[in-house]
Amino acid sequence: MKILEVENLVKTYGKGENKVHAVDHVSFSVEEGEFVAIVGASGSGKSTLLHLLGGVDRPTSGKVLINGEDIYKLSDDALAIFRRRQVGIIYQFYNLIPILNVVENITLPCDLDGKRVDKKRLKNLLDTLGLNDRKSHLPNQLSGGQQQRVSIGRALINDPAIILADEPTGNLDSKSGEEILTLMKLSNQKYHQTIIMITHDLEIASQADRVITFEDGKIIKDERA
Amino acid sequence: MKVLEKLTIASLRENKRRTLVTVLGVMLSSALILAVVGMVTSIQKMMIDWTVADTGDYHDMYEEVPVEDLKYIEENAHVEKYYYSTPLTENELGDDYETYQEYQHAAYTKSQYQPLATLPADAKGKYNIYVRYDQPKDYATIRDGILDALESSGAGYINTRTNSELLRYEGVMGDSTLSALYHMAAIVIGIIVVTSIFVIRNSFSISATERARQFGMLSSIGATPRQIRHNVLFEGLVIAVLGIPLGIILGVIAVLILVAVMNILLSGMMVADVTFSMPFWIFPVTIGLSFVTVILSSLLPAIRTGKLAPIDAIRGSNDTKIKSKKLHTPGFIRGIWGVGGVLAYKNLKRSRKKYRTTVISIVLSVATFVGLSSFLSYGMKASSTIYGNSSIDLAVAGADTDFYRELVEKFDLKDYAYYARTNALDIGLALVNHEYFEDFAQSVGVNAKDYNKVMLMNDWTMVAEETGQYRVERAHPDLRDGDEIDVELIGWSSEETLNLDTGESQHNYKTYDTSGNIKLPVTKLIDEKPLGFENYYGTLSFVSEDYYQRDRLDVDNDTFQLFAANIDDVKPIIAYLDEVEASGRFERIFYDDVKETQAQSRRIYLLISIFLYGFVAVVTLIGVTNIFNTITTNIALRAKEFAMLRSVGMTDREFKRMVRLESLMYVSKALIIGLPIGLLLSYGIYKSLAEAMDFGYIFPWSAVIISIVAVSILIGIIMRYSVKQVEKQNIIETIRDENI
Ligand SMILES: Nc1ncnc2c1ncn2[C@@H]1O[C@H](COP(=O)(O)OP(=O)(O)O)[C@@H](O)[C@H]1O
Ligand SMILES: [Mg+2]
Repeated sequence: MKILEVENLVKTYGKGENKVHAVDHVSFSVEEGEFVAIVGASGSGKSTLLHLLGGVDRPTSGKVLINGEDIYKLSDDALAIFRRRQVGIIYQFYNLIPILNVVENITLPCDLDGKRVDKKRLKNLLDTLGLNDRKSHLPNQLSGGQQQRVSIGRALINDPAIILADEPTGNLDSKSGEEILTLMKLSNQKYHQTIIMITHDLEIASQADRVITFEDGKIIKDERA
Repeated sequence: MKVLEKLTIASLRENKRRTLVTVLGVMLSSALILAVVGMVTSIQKMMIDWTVADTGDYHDMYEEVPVEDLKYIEENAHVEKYYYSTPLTENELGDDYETYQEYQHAAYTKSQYQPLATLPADAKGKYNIYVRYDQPKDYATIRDGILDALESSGAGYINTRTNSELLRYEGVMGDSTLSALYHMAAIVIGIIVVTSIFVIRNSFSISATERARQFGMLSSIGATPRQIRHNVLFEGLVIAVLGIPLGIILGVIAVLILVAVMNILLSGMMVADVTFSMPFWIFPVTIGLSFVTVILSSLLPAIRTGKLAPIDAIRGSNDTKIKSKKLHTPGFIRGIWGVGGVLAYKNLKRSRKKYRTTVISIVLSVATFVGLSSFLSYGMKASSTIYGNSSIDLAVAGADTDFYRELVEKFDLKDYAYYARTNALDIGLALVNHEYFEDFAQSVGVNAKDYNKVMLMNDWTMVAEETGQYRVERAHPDLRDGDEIDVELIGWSSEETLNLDTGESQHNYKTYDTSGNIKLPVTKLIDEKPLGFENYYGTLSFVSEDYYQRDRLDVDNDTFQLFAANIDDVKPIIAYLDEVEASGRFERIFYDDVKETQAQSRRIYLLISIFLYGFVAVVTLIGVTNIFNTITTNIALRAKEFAMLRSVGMTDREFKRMVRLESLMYVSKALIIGLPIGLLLSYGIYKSLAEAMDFGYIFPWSAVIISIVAVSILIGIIMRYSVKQVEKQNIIETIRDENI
């Protein structure tokens, strides 16, 4: 079953001679449960694409369908709710809220939804993420790897249809990076979680089911393992 | 508490200084609103007290109500209090018109009636009943009800008289003074609200901008624009809850102080004191208006924040968006200020939006200050034209020279002069008592030993120009010291008298010796004017009283006026004059405590200054809170840029220069816009007052200079302060801090 379909997606910045085609007529689709890695040179448009997939930016033209739903046809509010429930985004620099502790950061999407937090799921997540003994720490009391694990927890808490990760290991030492990758693979295998991950580490990319190579806003290679 | 609200509180806490300043802004604006309304209601209360003191505390007077029918008034549920007075009988009234007049007046003044409780038990006959209703608004309905009851009881038709003056001041009937007062208050409050919205909005914008990343992150994990919007509004709510109550307390205190100050300054000038009066409705109105101010202030930033694409918000790319347009930095900037200058210039040009808010705040304050201060200088000028900046303390007219001498001796007056002005000549001639004349002549360099030959002439006259303004010029430009002037004796003068019995006026013609022209030698043309003539314009000659035989000029002894100066205490003299007047010694004696009149006008002027400058001060203060918030935040947001500049080796000197240039740019830009607007405002005020005044436009130099100096100092201090805050931060931490 196709969980994500992208049709003719375009994102341009600027005007006239300054115009940049960050994403240039891109079409592809992703099956449920796939683990996709996107690689490419810096500035090739990977982040822009990921933001468009996650509904946090607005495309110049083209469509993004998640579970058959054209997300840019939704109202701003509906799109936000959609993001909240169907998408989990992980950034290179964690983007945690400094004044909230580990548990509060993770459960933020539930709080936004006004939903009671599923205690069992939370405990499970904390165990999996190895954050059980750090529950009430603030982000600045955590290492980079731990912070990234918190942001993965936050992405996973609502059981989203799709996880989008933008160089989640890019800011970490190799050991922490390895741990994060293991976690992602685990959730992919255990929960059949669909993951799209940007990386420029080919070693990491090679562990994915599928590797899409990006250049100048276009897909130039799309290989399955 | 919901998580978003918790975040808001946390961010308010974290930015303590800004939160405080914003709360201060809200507090000031609601205090100002309350103070304006409170002053109006207090003045209204004064008018009511005044009316009650004069006419009595009643709404309707029922004429000649039979004592047995009083119960219809007593028992009416809407009657709050009532008084009675005994009407005069036909006999008592008689045909005497004066008695009738007295009675008519007495019937409407308080002293004549008493509480009904004191009505003797065996009272009989008819009484005038004065009634105060509990709901003045419905006075007509209540009255009709009482009249119906009285009529059906057989009391017959009862005449009533409504105390419309009291009803007007209680706001039931339309009153032009009161409605003018309320209109003015409404306009002032409108200005306050608009200004405050503008200014407070900034604080929310800044906060929203600062929190943009947080909002972007929240929104990327699914916070809806609605939630974000609500969050900004929630911030407004918190600020309002903190600021408005404080503002109300401050406003009440301000009104208490203002009322006290008014009573001190106006003491003796008014029938009733201004009473502190704040009806309950003031509070919900103030809270409502302040609340609307805060909500409108946070609405725009809220909507804008909600609209941002999350990723733009995370990058912080909207409010802080930098235009990449091509820029040519003028050579002199690089020349004078070096690299720092170039950076400052680019900063200002590429992120205008951030600067606009600060510039507009300054513009607003400068414009109100310049505009209102020129309003004040017109007020001062106008009041000095009316009351004069005369040096005299006492003026007496209508008595004779003998009496003046008596007065001078009795009260040991040192500086005095008495004059008669005669109309028998076609130029004004003032006869001055020779003691003073000698002194005055000496002071203008003329030896007046032979005062019978000396004539001093002030030959200036005011000429009206077509523009309606006046110019002072010489009346006889060819005249020189020592020249003789031809003076025509005017053949007659008339005096109009009103015959009180017939109501006709009657002219009494006096004939003078018209034996042709006479020649008067002008000893010296002078610019100085003697005591009491400071505000006199027109050709006037001064001679000693003995200069010309009084008989020939036929100056009546009682046309002399006395002016006296440098009196410590005028009160006893006035008291004495009161006695003299009562004794009937002089038929038309007139006297004025000029010292007190002038002191009063100065006090009124002071009062108006307190109000106007107080208003300007608070508006400015609200503006300053905003300028402070914008500048400190702008600088803080650029902490990274500063840290980087220093990390690549910008020296402290260069850095300081850069900051100085930016300040200069702020100041000049704000003044270039603000001063012309203020001047336009001041000219508009002049134009609207021009008809009532006979002087030209006064360029508000001092206000302009004060604005320039104050704005420069203020911006300088705030810039320096904000930069100091930034400089304290560690370079590397600052740079690392803002990664996305
Ligand atoms: N907000 C923006 N404004 C203008 N250009 C942008 C913006 N964001 C990204 N770009 C441009 O789009 C291109 C793709 O950027 P990005 O998607 O971040 O690349 P990647 O993540 O592959 O390194 C780059 O050339 C970048 O300059
Ligand atoms: Mg990227």
